Amino acid sequence: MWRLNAVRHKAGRQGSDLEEFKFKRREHEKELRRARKDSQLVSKRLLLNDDEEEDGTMDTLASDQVVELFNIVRHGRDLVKKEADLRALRKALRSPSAHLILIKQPNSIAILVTNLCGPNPQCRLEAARCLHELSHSPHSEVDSLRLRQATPYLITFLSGQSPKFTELCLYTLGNMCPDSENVRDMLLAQGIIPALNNCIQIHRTNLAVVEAVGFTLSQLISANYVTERIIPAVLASGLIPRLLSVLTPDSQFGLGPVIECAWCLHYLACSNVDNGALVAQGTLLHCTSLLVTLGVAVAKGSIEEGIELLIWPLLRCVGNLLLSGPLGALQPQLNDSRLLAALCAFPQAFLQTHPALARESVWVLNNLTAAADSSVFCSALFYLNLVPALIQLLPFSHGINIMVLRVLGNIAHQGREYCLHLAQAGLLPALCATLKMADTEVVTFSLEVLGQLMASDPQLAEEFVKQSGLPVLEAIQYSNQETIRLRATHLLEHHLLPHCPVDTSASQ
Amino acid sequence: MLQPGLIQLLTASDLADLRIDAIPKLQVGFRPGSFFSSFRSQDGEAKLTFIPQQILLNKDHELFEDGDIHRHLYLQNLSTCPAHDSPTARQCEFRCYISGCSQVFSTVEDYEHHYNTLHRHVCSSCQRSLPSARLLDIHIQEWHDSLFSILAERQDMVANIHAHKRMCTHTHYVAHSGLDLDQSMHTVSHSLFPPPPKYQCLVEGCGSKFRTREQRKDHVIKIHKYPSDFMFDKVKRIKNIKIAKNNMLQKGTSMEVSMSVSEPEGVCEVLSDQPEEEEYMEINHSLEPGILDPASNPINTVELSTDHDTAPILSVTIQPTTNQQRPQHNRERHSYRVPRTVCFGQGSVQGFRGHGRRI
Repeated sequence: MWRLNAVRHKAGRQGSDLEEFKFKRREHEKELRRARKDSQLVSKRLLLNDDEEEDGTMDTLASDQVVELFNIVRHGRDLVKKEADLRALRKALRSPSAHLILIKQPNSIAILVTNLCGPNPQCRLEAARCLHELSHSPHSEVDSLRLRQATPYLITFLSGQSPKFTELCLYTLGNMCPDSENVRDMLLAQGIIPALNNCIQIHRTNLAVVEAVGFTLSQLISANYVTERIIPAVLASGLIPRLLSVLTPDSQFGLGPVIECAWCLHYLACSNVDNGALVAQGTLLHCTSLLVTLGVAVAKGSIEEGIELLIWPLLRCVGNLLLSGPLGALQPQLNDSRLLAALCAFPQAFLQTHPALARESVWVLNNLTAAADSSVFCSALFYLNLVPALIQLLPFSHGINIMVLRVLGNIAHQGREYCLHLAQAGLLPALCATLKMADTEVVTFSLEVLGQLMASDPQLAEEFVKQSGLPVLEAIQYSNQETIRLRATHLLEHHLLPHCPVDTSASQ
Repeated sequence: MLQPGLIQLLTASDLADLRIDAIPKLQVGFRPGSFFSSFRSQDGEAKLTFIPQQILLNKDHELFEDGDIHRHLYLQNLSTCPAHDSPTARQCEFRCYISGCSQVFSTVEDYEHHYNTLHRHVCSSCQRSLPSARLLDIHIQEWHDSLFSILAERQDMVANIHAHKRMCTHTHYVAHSGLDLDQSMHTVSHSLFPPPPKYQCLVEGCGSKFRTREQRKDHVIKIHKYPSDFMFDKVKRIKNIKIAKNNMLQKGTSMEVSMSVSEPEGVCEVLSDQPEEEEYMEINHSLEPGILDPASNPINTVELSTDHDTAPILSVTIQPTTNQQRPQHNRERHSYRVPRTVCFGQGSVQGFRGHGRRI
């Protein structure tokens, strides 16, 4: 995977066998889900350094050794030696226990900051690495407030020219962002957003730095309680066009930076602070273009590993931006009909590996077909013969079939022609199957769609009867769920029994 | 994985045709009156409530959970594991909606088989499930049609009387040795007594009808080559009151509430897939000569052969057959079981079927 070797998280550092890794991953996933439920889903990233690739083991030093190393740094006057001293300290800080020891030393951070700003570039680098290790600490005592002395300098250095150094500063800041609202306010006040804007401009050809900017920004805006100040500041900063320029379909950047920028756009769109501004700056156009490109790639079978990490935020961004105004006004940005094809292709391609992605893809279709002026998109779905692909998704749970039924209901709501086309596409037999499903919500939606179809034209009611749909409805009348019982009865009374002279009571 | 149509659509090189504004728009709207009238019932209450709605999702929405987890696993470098533990799409299960059934199936074929077996062609009187509409009609006619029962009963009585009388040429009526054959009275009796009911042949398309069950059974065995142990209709049984009450309490179905409840058994009824474990004895309370088919359903029944000259032996302990509406896994066991060869007491059976007297 791109860049993944360089950027790691501590959890992945210990190399274990596959089973243990899978077990850890499962446990980790459970933790993440719990954290998300508490709105505490936070990740930090650790940049590995070149000399650590060979260094497989971590030496955990005794606490006095750590203190010793620090004292050498503190008191050392020889700048050449200082670099080595700092390196030794940085290596010691690989071990989390050393973090606690270090911060207990008086003025430890101040010393590091001094070296960060010192004249020697290598010392700066090593000092930055030390701070980076601390920013990634698992200990809650080593929090961002402790490190706050460093932040004004880190932010200032974002406008510097050295890519490696800048990258370190970015990830350090990015790790600090989620810690608390106070920290974020502080960073905002210290000018992090214009600094990021500057940084991405200066280093726009360097994929590692662009990825780091994307990461830091995403950490900043995905935290809680950011809608009042941070997001408006981002929207006003001029960052959006720069992020969008990373999204160009023929980007040479590889997926890493594009992924980060896409997630930034998602966080901005779902906050719903000023989606009109986002659209005005071309977000919808760029995101849909990229989705089409990805759809084409998926159709050709070239599904790169990790591509879903990019599709996901793009879908979410587009889905939410569709509510930013009347669909007719947005249509120029949605003019490529291949978008609809891509939105139908993603569920087919990712159904088994990432069903949630399939569901979100259909959610975007819902937002395209549910607006007041969605008729052009609904017509397009028929013109491009995409409805059968949707109908094929109806057997699948995980919320997929409910979302598909919503889309079909939206289309049916357009009018009689649409209902007839839906029937031609084979919807009625499919509804006969969904009406038998165990999930009551699925049955409810199916009854709604069926009702819409039959209300639009009596011949559809006849067709439903021909599909042996009557006994299915009659069976539902015996359910203990009132919602579906009432609807089934309603459909039978209003649409079906007038058409059926045959006594159907024998089926009961 | 991807359908060819979709692939073609996405990989087409000519972009001009793919503009949305170039696609012809279908006409919007419904016929006047067709849309609204059906959606509101008489009292104006909306039964169908779906309206198209765009959905805005904020970052913490549960729909976004899986994607967020995936993102963070990537950030934490745990997403490179090739073996996924992430949730895969499940096919929806199907459920039988008949109240009291609620079985769940993984395919629609399984559900349909269940429904067609247990819930179609169900007799509303006795909740038996028959294999086809025709057999259901025959069942209803033969077991739940009171006129049919009366006529059949009368036929038996008349036949019994006939046996001791001289034969009538019209109906093989046999006149009593001590009485002259009073043709006119007898003829009148034919008009007073409507023609006896006919038992239809079970095979579709045959159309033959018979005066008695036995005759039909013989016909079906001889002509249509049915096995002699085919599930022929069985005589109604008379249950113990206690068991009848137990049944009503346990099953909660609407059984006939009479002092001794008889449970009719249907023509070619469907029994459950599980082997019948309960045993019961049947009564032969037909006064016809001969033995009820002893070979029918040897697992379930043992008939006592009776000689109609002596009072037929009556057994009392009857096990219920399966009530087809019960879930198959939930068969009730009744504690009161009688082994095959025991019989209790004697008594005669009188009266109309279905309205049995206290034993």
